Amino acid sequence: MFEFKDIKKTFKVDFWDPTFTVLNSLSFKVEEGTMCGFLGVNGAGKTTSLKILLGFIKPDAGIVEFSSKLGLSKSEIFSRIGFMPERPYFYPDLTGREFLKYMGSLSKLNSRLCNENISRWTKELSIDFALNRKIKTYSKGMLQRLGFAVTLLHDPQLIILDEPMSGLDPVGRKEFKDIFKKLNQQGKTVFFSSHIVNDIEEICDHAVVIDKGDLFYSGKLNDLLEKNATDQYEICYFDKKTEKNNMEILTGYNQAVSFVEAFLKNDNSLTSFVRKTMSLEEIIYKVRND
Amino acid sequence: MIRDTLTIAKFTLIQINKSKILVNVIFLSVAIALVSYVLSEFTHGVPSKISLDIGFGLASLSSVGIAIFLGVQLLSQEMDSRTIYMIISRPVSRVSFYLGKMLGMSTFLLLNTILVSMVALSVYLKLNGPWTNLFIVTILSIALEAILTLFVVVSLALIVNNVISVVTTIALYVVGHGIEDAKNITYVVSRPWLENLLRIYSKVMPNFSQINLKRYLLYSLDLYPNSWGWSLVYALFYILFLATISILVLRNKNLD
Repeated sequence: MFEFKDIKKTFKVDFWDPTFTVLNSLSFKVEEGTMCGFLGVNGAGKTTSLKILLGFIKPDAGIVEFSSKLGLSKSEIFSRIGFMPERPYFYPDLTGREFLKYMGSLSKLNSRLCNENISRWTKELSIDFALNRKIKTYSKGMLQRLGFAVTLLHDPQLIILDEPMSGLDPVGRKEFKDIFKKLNQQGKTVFFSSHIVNDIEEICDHAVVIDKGDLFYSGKLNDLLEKNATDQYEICYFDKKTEKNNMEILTGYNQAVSFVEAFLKNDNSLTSFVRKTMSLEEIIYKVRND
Repeated sequence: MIRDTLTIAKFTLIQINKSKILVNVIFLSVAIALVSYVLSEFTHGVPSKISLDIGFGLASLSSVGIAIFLGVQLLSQEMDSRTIYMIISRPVSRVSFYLGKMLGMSTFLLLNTILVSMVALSVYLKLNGPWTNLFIVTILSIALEAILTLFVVVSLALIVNNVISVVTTIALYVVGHGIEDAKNITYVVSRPWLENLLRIYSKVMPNFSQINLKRYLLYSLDLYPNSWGWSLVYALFYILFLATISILVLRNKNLD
């Protein structure tokens, strides 16, 4: 759906200060129809990458290429993208409905379709009750929901979200994740940044992991987990002699298989045989410390 | 592009209007109109002129004040609060965004000027002041002065921080009003280099006295069509010049 090619970005705090590198020849690709998490610790360069992706800032070197399926002109491409910034803040004196209509007009939606989509997404995001209230009366979570409704209003093909679940309560996080899954099942590409590893592990099939402006991993999430799986096996079985459930952790596949074969001969029954994997969080932590 | 610009202008106008600034200004203008009505009772000769002087003075001050203090935040607040990201991540160009914001705010300044001037004018007419078409030209010139001030402060706010923008704009406004009179001071006339310096300044920097037509109305001076036509052309040209610079800056600005 889009590709980062050797993107480099440096910043200067003040004119006299030396430059510091935020992104160091970053290259990765996000395929169409994937649910891709963009992971990195605070300050890794996630938000800068998203700003470059959307043209808010210019890279020092490198280019961002969008799939021709999104369109050929900038206007076509951006009409098929939905973006929500981190901690969105809107015009305080407008009502939620006015703001949605404003964004709908800018997305070239006709009045009928705009109203239909406002009704649909605000219901889905449980913000419909507050649409006629001024935005300055909204809580942080409500702003987040309004921002997400605005992002989805024009039925974008590529959905880009910067820390979409920050400021949400557990119910809100669950609702957002469910909507991400639903959108992805409908064929939309969802690309969202987060520093919360569990959120990405739970719902994403692909991940891009960056650290200090360098690419650490880009690809299928399962491949990353598999690559970092241990050689340990967790075997749960029912021991007929003692009439108890037991669990053994053994290192090495052959040793684990020999153990299973031996106890099966004694009429014991196998409950589970699982290769122990590291969680994504453990992998990230391990790699950072290595 | 035109549709986007008009949409942004429309919602900018709605947003400013909802902030109740206009209501406050109208309340203030009514209060001042009442004061000027009372004051006019203590004057001899031209009581109606007092109400006009105070009323149009307030129209000018309130519009310029709004232009400076709301104008400085017009784009910078959008960038600070990241609201601009929601807009330009849609098929909307930065140029449309800029033009829409400026058009919305300029319309608000025009409305503010007209409403406050109408209050002043109603007191003037109540005091049996005669009607002249110069009122329309003067009200338009007050609005243009405020709109030019808006373009100055927004252009500066794109380059430097808000505090410096406000201070510089106020300085430019004050100097821009006094520059023509300063050129005629004996101290200046007797020093050609200083006279030339002021002449160059008045040509390059915003010369607000060029578009100040209030004096023609208040002192019953003759204003010929080519004079106010020139004022109009000057203001529009300068606005266009500042808009071009701002667009060039905004198009290349990193919105981080």
